[in-house]
Amino acid sequence: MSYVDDMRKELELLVKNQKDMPIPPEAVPEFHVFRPREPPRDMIAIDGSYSFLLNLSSWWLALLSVGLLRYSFDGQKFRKQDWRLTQRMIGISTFAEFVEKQDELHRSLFEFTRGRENQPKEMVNEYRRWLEGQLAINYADDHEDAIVAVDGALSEFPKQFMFMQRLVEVCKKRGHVLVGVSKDSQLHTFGQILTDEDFLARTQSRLPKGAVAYVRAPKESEKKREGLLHGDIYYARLHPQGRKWFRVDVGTYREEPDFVFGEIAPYAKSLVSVGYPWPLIEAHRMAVTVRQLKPVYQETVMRAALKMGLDVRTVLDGLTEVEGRKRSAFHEYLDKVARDLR
Amino acid sequence: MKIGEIVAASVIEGLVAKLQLNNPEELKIAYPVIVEGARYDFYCLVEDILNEPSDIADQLAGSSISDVIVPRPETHEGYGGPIFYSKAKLRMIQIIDRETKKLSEPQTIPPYFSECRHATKADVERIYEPTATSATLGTITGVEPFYVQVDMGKLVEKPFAIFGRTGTGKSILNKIVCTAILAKEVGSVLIFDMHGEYGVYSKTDNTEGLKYYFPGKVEIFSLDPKNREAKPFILDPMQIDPRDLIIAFQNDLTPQMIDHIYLIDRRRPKDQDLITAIREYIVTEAEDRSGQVHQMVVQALQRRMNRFDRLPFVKIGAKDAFSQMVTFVKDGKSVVLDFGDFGTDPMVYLFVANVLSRRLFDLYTEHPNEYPRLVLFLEEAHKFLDPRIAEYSIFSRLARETRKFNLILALIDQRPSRIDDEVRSQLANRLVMSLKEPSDVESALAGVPDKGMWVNIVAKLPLRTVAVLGDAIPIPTVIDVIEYDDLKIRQHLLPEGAVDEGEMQDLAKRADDVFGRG
Repeated sequence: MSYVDDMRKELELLVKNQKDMPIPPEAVPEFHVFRPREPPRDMIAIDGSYSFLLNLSSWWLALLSVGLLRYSFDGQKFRKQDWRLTQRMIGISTFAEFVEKQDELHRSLFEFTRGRENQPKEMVNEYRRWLEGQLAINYADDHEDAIVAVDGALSEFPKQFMFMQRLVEVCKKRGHVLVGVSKDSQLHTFGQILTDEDFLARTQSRLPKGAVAYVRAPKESEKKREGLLHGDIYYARLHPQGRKWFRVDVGTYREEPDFVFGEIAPYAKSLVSVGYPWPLIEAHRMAVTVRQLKPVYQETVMRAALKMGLDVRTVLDGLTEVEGRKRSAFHEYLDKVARDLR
Repeated sequence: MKIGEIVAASVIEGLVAKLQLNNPEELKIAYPVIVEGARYDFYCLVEDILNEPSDIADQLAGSSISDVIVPRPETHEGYGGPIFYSKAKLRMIQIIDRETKKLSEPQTIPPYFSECRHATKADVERIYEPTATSATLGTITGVEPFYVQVDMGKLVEKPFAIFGRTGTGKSILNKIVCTAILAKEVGSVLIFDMHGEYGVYSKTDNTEGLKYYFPGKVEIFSLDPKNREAKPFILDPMQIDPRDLIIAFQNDLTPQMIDHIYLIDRRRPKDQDLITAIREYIVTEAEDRSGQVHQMVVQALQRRMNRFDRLPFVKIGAKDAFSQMVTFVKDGKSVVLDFGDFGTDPMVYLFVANVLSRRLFDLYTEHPNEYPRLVLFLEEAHKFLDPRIAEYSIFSRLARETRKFNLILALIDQRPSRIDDEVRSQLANRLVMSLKEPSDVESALAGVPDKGMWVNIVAKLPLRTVAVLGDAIPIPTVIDVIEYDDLKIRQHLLPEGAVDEGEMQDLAKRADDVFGRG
């Protein structure tokens, strides 16, 4: 049996589960059709990114970057009204004895991510979400009656750093619509073999042509995450021809989902990102400059480290890829050999 | 207004600006742009404007999705400007020290993210400082209305050329250049006016000519006896030499015929002119037998000489007009030689222009300090300067040598590629209008610094726009030529009170009586 036969066998199984699996009528979710509001409120979009710069033993240096953009939309034009960019250099360690001597935030991050694969990455990621939350809270508190759209779920890590709860409170106080939009979701909250996104794509043919709609995720799935989640989980098709159903967590106006989705749908009309809010695309692009400009930041780190007495070899050995893997790691070398040798 | 920021730079390759314009159509090739460096302002010309290939654009273009906002610069403001942006390649022309205001050649580059903006009137004024002898040719493309001046004094110091294909406005530009030369009193001009454009009024478009604006400074001679207002142009055939015939008949002469012309010229009696000598030459039996002279060749030449029967201005024994012309030139006057009905016969033009130019060349070289500066305008220059016949014409020597003797050659041509390289290399200034033939573009710009950029610019010049390159202008410049009308000429070229209104009107009336108008 060759690999081609293996491939056929596996593909057959996939197709059977993906395409031919019947969906019983009772499993079809309840779609709610809504109407986009024009003109919508301003949208404040927040997204973050990070770049690892240096790794010495079990200690990492990373730069976090969070972009915030406020946009208006008049039905024809997306206009940038305001922006913020926050950057923070952080050091994290995965060595417990060292962490014990660090501040509370560091210790909480360590505890929260303990046991996860690639812990340094997870710690930095959670730090990023915390920083996103801080920026969102500060900005939202200075404005009123807008849409605050954060990237990802409206959840948070250690309870002692309740940034998401505070964000919800501020948004309520200032009259903001608060949503968390996940770019990709691999959950199976509808209890199907298909992921939620794929499952909804299969069943959406029941919707009227040209409709935008949302679906409430089964409440059991929210219960499982109680304590960490600050909102209701929905899936939404924000443009009639959008290819994807996005998971949208609604943090305020929870009793008025029609209103909430009506406000955010107009921002999903850009041809660049049909069905996904344009301001979130731009906030993401703004944040990931931290990765594009990594060599510049890394050079700054090198200069400072050398001035402080680290020897060149140590610094060079410690330079990392964006996700924290050492450039000089042996498997990097093997990858290069595999690529370059013919 | 800020139009972009520098994202790449090289002293050799030029600068690249990321544009922040909603519409790249607002910028055009050859527009002047200022890049604000830390210490210098970089005066640049737009060399190219480009939308670089984009995978996302490829994916989105032609989408059939309805009710979406297409990502145009005016609809999608990104975090750092438009998400789909154009770029401009800029060529550094000069750098201006902000403190000292001193201009210098670009030997460095501006930092990343230096702001670019349209050049303003104030910017260009720093570069185009007028001199006592500078005159307006038009406005700078992209900075209107800034009237840019060309130093006519410098222009007429050395040979120069106006190149451009038919219909681009060469004649109008030439009229403006002639008017400017006379207005600034930097020299006199001699024009072979084939189509009656330079006298009092142009016969082709009724615009005013040189005599209209400078009645006391311009004398008109005419080959055509019907033109009674002009002084008659008479040519003594004794002044004709073999080179004049070779130039006049060009491809209509075989090498054998040319040899025979020289042979007959050597054998003719001193008191007999060359045309008569050819006409009356009888081939002896001995000559025929020896093969020295061929009966058939002589007969062919004699048939060609019959064409001179139709030229009433070639008169044996009449007073030659050349000495009268020279007297006027010596008095600082200009001469327009009107060809009248002969203007449509290229043979007549080539013949007359060569005879006169040759004689002027002899005169100026023999008496180097006696004559004032005279600019000799030569239309269809390639017909005199084609490498195949250049050795017979006086013009290649004229281009190479006469700036030492105050006789300056100005070439006007649509086929610069057919002009001898050596002559082209003598041109100190080039006024290049639109050219389409690649070989002509190459030739017109041979030896110009940053030739690659200028090739692109010249190939895309609109009508009535000229690229001026040379020492008569501080930096190479693309100019929209001013309209040639009475108001503009008075406003921009003529000094106040330079024209005697009464004399001008009287002259105009007499011209109307003779030629009719409108």
